Amino acid sequence: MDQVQLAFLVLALCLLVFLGSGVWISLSLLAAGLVIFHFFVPIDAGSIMASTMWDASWNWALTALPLFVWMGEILMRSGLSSSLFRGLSPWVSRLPGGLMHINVFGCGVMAAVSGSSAVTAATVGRMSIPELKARNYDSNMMVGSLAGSGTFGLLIPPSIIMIVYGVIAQQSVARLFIAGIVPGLVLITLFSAYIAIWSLRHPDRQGAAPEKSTLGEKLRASRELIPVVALIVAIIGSIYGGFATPTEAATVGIFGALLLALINGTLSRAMFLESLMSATRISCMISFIIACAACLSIAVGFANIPRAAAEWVQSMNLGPGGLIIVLTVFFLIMGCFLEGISILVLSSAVVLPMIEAAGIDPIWFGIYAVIVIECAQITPPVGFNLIVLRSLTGQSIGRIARATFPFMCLLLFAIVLIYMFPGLVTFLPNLMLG
Amino acid sequence: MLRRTIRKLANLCGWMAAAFLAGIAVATALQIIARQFGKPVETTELSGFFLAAATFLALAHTFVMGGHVRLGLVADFAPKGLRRPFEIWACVFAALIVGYAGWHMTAFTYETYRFGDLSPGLLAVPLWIPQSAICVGLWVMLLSIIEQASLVLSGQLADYETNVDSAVE
Repeated sequence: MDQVQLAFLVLALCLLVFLGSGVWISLSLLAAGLVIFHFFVPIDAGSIMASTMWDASWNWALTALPLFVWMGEILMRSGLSSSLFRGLSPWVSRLPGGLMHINVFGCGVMAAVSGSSAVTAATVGRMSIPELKARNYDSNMMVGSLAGSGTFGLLIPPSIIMIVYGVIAQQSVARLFIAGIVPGLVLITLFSAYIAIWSLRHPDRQGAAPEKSTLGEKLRASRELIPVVALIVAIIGSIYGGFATPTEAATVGIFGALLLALINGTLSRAMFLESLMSATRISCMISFIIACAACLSIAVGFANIPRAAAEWVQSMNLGPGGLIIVLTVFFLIMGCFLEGISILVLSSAVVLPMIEAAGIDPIWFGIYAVIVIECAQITPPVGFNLIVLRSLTGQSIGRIARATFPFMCLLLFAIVLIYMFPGLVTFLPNLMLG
Repeated sequence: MLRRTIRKLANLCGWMAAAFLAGIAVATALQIIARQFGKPVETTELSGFFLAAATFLALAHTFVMGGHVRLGLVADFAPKGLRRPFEIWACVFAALIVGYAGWHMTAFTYETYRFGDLSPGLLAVPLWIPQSAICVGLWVMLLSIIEQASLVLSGQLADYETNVDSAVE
């Protein structure tokens, strides 16, 4: 066994032991980096670690992250859940599956203003779960569609995890955002179609038929959606049109979200401070993981592991398709234990050189990775959306995971789609920047 | 008494971090507004410094509030008697790593101070200023870890075991 293979084994073992024994993820990454440095790199780790951590912590591209987190936290507390429900319900009530589609479309809309899947699922679920329950909708389908659709928060821009990917893979966050739009719409269509087909096949398990409404009533009801639609247009439009960087769009988004809360009468000093403190903690957690992961990457790089990984890919002759299958299995297994951002930063040092070696477009890979990580959000025993749904419904993680399983299969199907038709991902960003 | 002081210190740093986070939004807003009036105001560098300060000053507060993610699997499934040793191991491990990082970060900051390194952008800020926020954050986190470890050692439930933010990601 040569030195590099040994280093890789030690790395895997360290991560397994540290993470498995309940050490905080960020500190596990940092410690694993130090171990690799100490045993496999003939230079002293201390000063390189310090300068790496410093460089990683004031990265300008990362400044969009806390702002989008804050915006999501404001919107979650702004009373948007009820506007979404009232605005969308007259439009979907006539579809087969009825109000169940609110979960899908509501999450789609919410995902376009928030960057996180837990915020998306929690905001929509707060209103749709009690309403659907009251109308006797099938409880498994309700929970499954909500947990599944919540993951749109990751794919539909703005997206926290895309910012993280953009930073670690040195790709344009704006392009990643735009690349997520079409796959996001594809997933909304898939989920909605599944709900419709399911309810046509199980007419006995349908919920109460909602009252009919005229076009005028529908339009009047959807007036409540105008502020949130304006916010979506402002954010995605300004990034797409090149008027604003993601950080600037997020700033506009924060003021928009505060304005929306003011209109809804939910803006108060307490709510403002609560959202700010919550955003501070969440973005501290994420940015610290990124800073620690930067130290791990540099250690892994000094130990020559990325080069060996790239050579391994070439020697295996897997081709892009084979590599994607291997990585999907790998990510799904990791997804059972870790949440998305950790999976991404943990694997990036080894996986990104592989991608480059296999000639896969890094923007396409970013979207692919986000969809796989969406699956990771709903795989038991650790999946953030499952945890959110548990706190909303009080059902067990196992039951929620089973109810969500069909939607996970749809996510995997979407990966097959974007693999067969890469244009779904690359068309819009190429159009945007020539 | 000592414990209360550390707790207050962690919270104070947390509030400062929140102010820096809001500062990123304010600085970026100024940049947008100034651009409308044709004045090129460049705040990207400042935002970067604010981000670093916000991240590291919030470390201790986030730690105490259970905001740092970890795998609870083994510790959760382990028999009750084994849980405390696991917590103690995690705390000792964390204290060592954070102490190590704090030590080298401080040495690094002292170096930048001695060489008088300036930031590369238009602001040309002495880099040791934002870097010391990182050092302070790491040292306060070390104090908080020790404080929480003392809770675990005296047989109580550590505060970090309950996470207040459900919407982590």
